[in-house]
Amino acid sequence: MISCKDLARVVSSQTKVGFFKQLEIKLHVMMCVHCAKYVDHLKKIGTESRKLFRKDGPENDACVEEIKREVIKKLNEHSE
Amino acid sequence: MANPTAKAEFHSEAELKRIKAKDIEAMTRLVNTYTHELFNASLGLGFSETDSRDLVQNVWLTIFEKIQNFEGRSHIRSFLFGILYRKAKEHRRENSKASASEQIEQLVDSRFDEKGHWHKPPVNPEEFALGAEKAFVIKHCLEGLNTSQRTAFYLKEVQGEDSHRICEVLEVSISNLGVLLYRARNFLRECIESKLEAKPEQESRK
Repeated sequence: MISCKDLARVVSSQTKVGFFKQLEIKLHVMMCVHCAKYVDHLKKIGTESRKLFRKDGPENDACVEEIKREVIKKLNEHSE
Repeated sequence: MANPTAKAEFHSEAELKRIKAKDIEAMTRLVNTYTHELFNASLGLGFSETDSRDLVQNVWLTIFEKIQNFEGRSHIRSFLFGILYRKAKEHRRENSKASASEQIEQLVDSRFDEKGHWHKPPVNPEEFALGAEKAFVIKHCLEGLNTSQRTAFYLKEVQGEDSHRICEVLEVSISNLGVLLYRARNFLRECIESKLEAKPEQESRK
């Protein structure tokens, strides 16, 4: 059976492993409470990071609008 | 303005033709649709708001120059982001935070005993609660990554880019990318865990 340490390395580096290794990892996570916590932490980090940078929030709207104006101005200058 | 319908428009042959011919209206639509996404991606890659502003403007100028080279085999978004990643590489310099995130190997090793079992296991899920109110913790920890680790993590986790594409952007091998992701994720996990532990605010969980 794969060790917790090796599992942590394979999972966090997203190393491609064969079918049986994948199965071994899944079974290990089902049985090992610590590795389950580790995998859960990595998932949460991914989910929250996506929320952090994917949101089209109003926070940077003004800045984005300003960039658009600048770029469109340059675009018009270019075409003249 | 950046709605899915607008993005779908760029699939049409006619619109792509107009863009390649540098039609002002079509180019303006492109700028209005993708500037926000490019700006957010630049922030995600670790650039400050001021640097991101310069970077995104620079990306658009390059696009105006190179748009006729776009062959239309991939979606125009990939073309735009390809230019962003290349420009980002020119803009950034490796920062001096390398040492902190590179020591992560030893820190992770110290969590296991000689048989590879957890010696100091991760904290329980309820102690690792990351919500919107804890976004500052993630932001703070992301700053500790060096630029290659951060780019690898961002492209994989946030943009969901394919590993081969990330290797091209970073000019690294697949196994090097694995090392970058390993270090980035474990550094973030360790950093977040220590920050959450350090602030044992009594929040009502019920």
